[in-house]
This record gives sequence, C-alpha cells and structure tokens, in this order.
Amino acid sequence: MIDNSILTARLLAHRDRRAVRVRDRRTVCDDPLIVFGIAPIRVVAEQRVQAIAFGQVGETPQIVVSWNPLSRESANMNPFAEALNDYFQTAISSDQLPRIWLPHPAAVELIDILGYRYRTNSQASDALKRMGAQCRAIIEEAAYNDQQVVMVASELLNRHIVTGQSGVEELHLGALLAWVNSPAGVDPREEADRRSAMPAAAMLDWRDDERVEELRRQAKEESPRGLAARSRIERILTNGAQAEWNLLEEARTAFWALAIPPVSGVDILRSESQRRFADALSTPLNPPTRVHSLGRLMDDYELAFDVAEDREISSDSMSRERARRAGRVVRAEIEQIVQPRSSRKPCTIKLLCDQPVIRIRRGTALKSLNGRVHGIVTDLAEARPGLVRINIDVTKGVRRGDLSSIPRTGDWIDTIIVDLRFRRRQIYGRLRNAAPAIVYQGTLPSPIVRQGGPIDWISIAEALRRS
Amino acid sequence: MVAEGVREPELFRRVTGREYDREYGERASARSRGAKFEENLCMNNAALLRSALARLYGYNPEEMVVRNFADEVPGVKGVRVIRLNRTRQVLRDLAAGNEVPHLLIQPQLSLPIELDRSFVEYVAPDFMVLDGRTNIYRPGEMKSFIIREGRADKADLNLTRRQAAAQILALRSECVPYDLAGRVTSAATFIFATPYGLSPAAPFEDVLEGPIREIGRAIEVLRAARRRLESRRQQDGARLEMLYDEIPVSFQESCLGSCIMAGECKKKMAASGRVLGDEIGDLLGEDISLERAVELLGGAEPENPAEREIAERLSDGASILGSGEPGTGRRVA
Repeated sequence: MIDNSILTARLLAHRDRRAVRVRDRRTVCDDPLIVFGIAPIRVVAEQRVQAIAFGQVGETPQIVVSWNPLSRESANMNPFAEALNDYFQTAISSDQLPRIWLPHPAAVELIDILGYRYRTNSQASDALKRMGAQCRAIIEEAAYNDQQVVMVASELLNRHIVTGQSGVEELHLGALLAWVNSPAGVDPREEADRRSAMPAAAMLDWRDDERVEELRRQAKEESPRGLAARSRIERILTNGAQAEWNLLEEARTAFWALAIPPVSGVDILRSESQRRFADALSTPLNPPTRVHSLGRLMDDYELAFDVAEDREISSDSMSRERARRAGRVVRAEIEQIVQPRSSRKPCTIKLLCDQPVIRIRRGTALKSLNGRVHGIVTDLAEARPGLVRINIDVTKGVRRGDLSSIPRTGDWIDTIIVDLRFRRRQIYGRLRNAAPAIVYQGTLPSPIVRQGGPIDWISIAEALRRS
Repeated sequence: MVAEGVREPELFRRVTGREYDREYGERASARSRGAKFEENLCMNNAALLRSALARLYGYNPEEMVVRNFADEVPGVKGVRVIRLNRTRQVLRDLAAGNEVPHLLIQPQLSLPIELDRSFVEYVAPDFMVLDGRTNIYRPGEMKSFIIREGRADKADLNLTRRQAAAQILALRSECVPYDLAGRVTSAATFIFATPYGLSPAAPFEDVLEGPIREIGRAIEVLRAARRRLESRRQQDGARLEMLYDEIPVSFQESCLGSCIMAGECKKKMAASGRVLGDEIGDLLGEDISLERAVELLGGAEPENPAEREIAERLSDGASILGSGEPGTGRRVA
C-alpha cells in the first residue's frame, strides 16, 4: 500500500507542478573537491560500450568513441582506463574519498560489464585489466547501502523527491529533472513528456542509432567514403555521450540544489566506505562463490543496511515518522525510572505509549533517539485502554547524565547496530576448515519420494490466495 | 490490436491521424546483432548449436541430424504454412516411431486462440531439440543477451521465458493429433551469449510453469477481447479505430513503454488518479477524481466515507511531510 506521505507528496507535486522533498536528511556526505563522472553509451542489446564521456564533473569531459565496438580492438578505452586510474591513485594517496557520479542504473550495469569483460581477460592490456578491476571495485562498493563512493544520480534524486507523475515515469532521469528544473512558464508535465522521448539509459536516440547502424556498413570500407562514415559515426557518438554527460551534470546540480543536510554521523559512513573501497582497489579479489565467503559478504551487506537505516531513522524526521507509523519507532512518555543505586545497574525505564501501531515485543532492543540509552523490552502491558506500558531494562547509559539526556516524552527506536562480523568470521573460518558435505558437496541429498502423485504447487498457491 | 491483426503504428495513425514519431519496436542494431548471433550458431550445419546442445542432451555432435527449415524454405512471407506442414510431418514420423532429426531449426508451430482453430497465432521457436529422455522435441531460443556469472538479466530472461512458454503451448497443441501432447514437458532450452562476443554460453533448461499459465490467461483475454469486439460490431461492423472511443480504457503504469497507445490512453485518463500511478489510481478508484483529491488535500470537507478515508490519509501524509526542517515536504524551490 502506498505510504501516506508519498501519496500526499505526489498530489502536492501534481497541484503545484513542482517536485516535493520527502526526506529532510541525506545519507551521503558532501562531494569531495574533485569528483569523477562517467556517462557511457552502449550498443543496444549488446551491452558493449561504444562511447564514454568521463572526467572531472563540472569540467568539459573527455569523450572516447569506437565506431566498431564489436571488433576486438579496445585501445580506444585506454584514455578512460588511464583517467580512472589517475583519479583513484590521487584520491587514495591524498587520503580523499574517491567519488564516482553516474547518471542512472543503466550506466552502472555497463561499468559492471566493463569489469566483467576486462578484469581477467588475458587478451587485454594491463591498463584495461586494471580498469576492469577498478570497475569491479566500483560495483562491489555500490552494493553497500551505506557507501559513499558511487552516486547514481537518478536513484539519489528519486530517494529524496517525488514528482507529479507515476513512479515508472520517474525512472527516466530527463523526465524526473523536468519537475525540478522546468523552464519558467513551462508545465513540467509537458516538459517531462517531451524529455521522455529521448532515452536516458546509456543509449543513443533511436534515430541516431539507425543512422549509425546504416553508416557502419559503409565504415568498413577502406575508402574515402568509409573514412567519412567513420567520422560521422564518431560525431554522432560524441554528441550522444555529451548529452548523457549533460544529463549527469544537471542531475548532480539538481541534487545539491535541494540543500538537504546530511544525517548525523555521515563522516563515519564516509571513512568506512573510503577504507573499504581502498582495500578493494589495493587487493582485488574474485567475487565470492563459496558458502563461507558468500556468508561473509551477506553479513557485510546486512550490517551496511542496518547502519544506513539507523542513521536515517535517527536523523531524518520524515523517515522516523514513517517508521513510527509502521510501529518501529515509539513515541512514549517516561512514567518512571526505577534505579535502586544511582548510575548503576539494574535500571528499568517504564514508558507509556498511546501509539496505535507498536511493532515491538519482549526482547526487542530499543534505544533513545539520541542513542545514549539502550535497553531490552522486558514487558508490555495495557496500562489502560489505548495506553501501553513498556518496561525497558537499561543495558547501556545508566549514568545520571545519560538518563537525564533523554526527554520526558521522546522517541525510542529499534535500529540498534549489532556488529557480529568478528564472531561470524570465526564461524565461517571453522565452516571452511571442516567443509561439511551438506554445505560444500556439489550434489544434493536424495529427494524424498512423495506419495500420491505429482503436486501442482501453483494450483495450491492459487487456492490459498482465493481462500 | 492483436485480436484484429493490426500493427500498432498503423492503429495509432488511424486513431490520431498522425504518424507515431517516437521509438517503436526493436532497434535495427539489436535486430542485426541477434540475427548475427543466430547465424553464427546455425552456420556449417549448425555446428556451434549442435556442439552446445549435445553436451546437455547426451548426443555426439557429429552424429546429430539437423533440419534447417530456414534453409529448406527460405523467406519471410508465405513460408509459414509450408514450414508448418513440414514440422507436422516430423511430429507424425516421431509418433510412428520413424527416425527423426535431432535438431529442427526455425520449425513452425501454430497456437490456437479459438478452440476450433478458426483463429491461430503462428509461433516459430528458434530451434527444437529432440530430448531422448521423453522422446519429444523441446523448444529452444537463441538470444544474444549476455550471461554474467551464470546469470542472465532478469528482464531479458522474463520476455524470453514468455516467448518459450507460448512455444510449449503451441507444441502441445500440434502434438494432440499424434497423441504426443502428454510427452511435452513445461521446460524449454535457452542459449545466450557470453560477454566476450558472439560465442554461445552454456545452454540451460528452464521449467516454465508460471509463464505457461500467464500465456494461457493471455489467450483467454484475447479470446474474450475478440468476443467483445464482435458484439460491438454487430450493429455497423465498424473498424477498430472507430470503436476506439467506445472501448473502456484500463491504463496502467506498465502500459508506458509497452504499448504505443499508452500516451493516448493517459490523456483520456487525465482526470483520474491513475495518471499518478497504479497505487494512487487504485486508492482513489473511479469515484474520486484527481481534482477532488487535490481539493481534499486543500482541506475540502469530505462528502462520503471513501473521501473521508482519503482525507485522513492526506492529513497524515501532510503531518509526516511537515515534520522535517522548514521547507521540507514543500515543493522544491
């Protein structure tokens, strides 16, 4: 079901013909002084890069093109490989956060493919292999929810604003920007419709694509006509890559123009992301494929998700309000603090809450909004109709200063970070050493033979859905 | 449009009086890449295709017998019936226990939309391979989509799975006269490309129970659409474009990018919450217009329980949006 705030925001945007902000904090830190943009153009259905605009965002990009991207020739990619490497080397050596801006998920996919294609390709030059490894590192880092290295402009904007068009239409970066940057006097609905006619998915406009396809036949000729065709293809590709670059620049400018402040603790997110990315660059590893290494990766992703969620709910009041309606944040009044010895455990806080939806149970870990007091819910009971008493056994923050820091009526949230990576890694290490057959053997145990003929699971699912 | 056999750009032109000037259909570059991939697999008596499939089906690639209907009956127009008859002859031979080829390239099948076969859709798998385990052909698709780390892109795979599901249904239908339909399983074979050019990745089989159900439902919808069109035409036999304004619009977000008439239908629905997405469309329904929802947003008094519910949700939404910094939840300046 659509969230009430998104419903309202969409109607507001429709009425006012402007995008509406739906978050008041961002989980990404400020851009470093120099950021690197990548705006590729692919061959449709082939997922091969035929042009890339790249370089320092805010400056004129460098554009490399390939008139025949299906050939084995890949030297045209060398300037991109060199520029990317220079950027990363400079950022890492000067202890700066490297930051890559990409226009949309289609560009991310192309970076992924570049990584896949060149990282271990024995036919590729060392520079291209290094570029492949760096592209792989970009993709790996992008998978972490709390990461600060890879900024995908359309995703970032869609996370913070809602427009007066449907969600599907918002996926088109040009149409999305029409609601943020419409020229004065122009209806953003019409502007979005106009802009959506041009692709914003790392591909040429279809007319240009048809032209290039036609010219490619001529371009293979070793003649003045072939030479002219190659030159025309390169010009079309250059224009296409420049258009994608312009879109990227416009989106980045639009995002920063929202002037949304960062969540508290964003510096911690930045340093963790910077460290993780630098490690990935310095020691490129193969993607995990075995149970223990995949388990480690999943744990890392889960922790990153929890950290980002915690920062957001703690800092962004709109996200917190949404979480409150889902019952994960409770606004409660302190009824009593039971602490026989001052600043010592045991300490119990009794809260009274009249929220209609509460999704906490005995054993749920809660913390105060300022994060100084943590505890475990030991009891929930109805104090009187519509009022729930919640008892919390305080596990952290029993000092007088901590307890007095929490307001009499305030928010308690369930986003407590538990970092069990060290312990889990020990478990995965033992798992790897023991290598039990049920985990590592290629074949599954013999299936249990069912009685009574084959089961039509889809019919059963449909019957359940109807019942 | 499918029920009428009218091409989408043609109907668009007839309805609007102008040519469709946006992107439509598969791009020439994608088509040529796909054709090149298939050509590569099928050249030299389908050497690459044989080699790829032999591993999966336990054949010796050198001993596989191939019939390529695209070579036997070249062309695009007017070849379907000839290819269909030849495909049926192969099925007849199979039922009779005669020797049949291991691999059929570009066979032709027909998928009945009407149960009496008065309306069929022609379906042409890229290939069909004889599966020795069940002694029946299995439809297969060759696509130039790439596979990375053993996985194909979900969107690419979904479309191909539906395509293959229609082929399985068509094959079952073709097998009925020869009492072979029971042998046709719900699996199809797929061959995609590697990221390194036109070489094929290892083929894989996929069981398509879900897509087969989807296609089955789509056939029922198509049949029902034909009935409705026929009943509307009983009076004057009007052409489809003349009926366009009478046909109820069921515009959805998924229409955008998949139907050429989406923009026109969206215009027709301009007063509905549907233009802001399916969820808002479902929530407001037909009784509350977009204009009325905006009035409720501005504090208008609800006039019935449905409006009251919307007003309460909008009020709650506004309180969330108003909970942030000054200026948030407001329009972007």
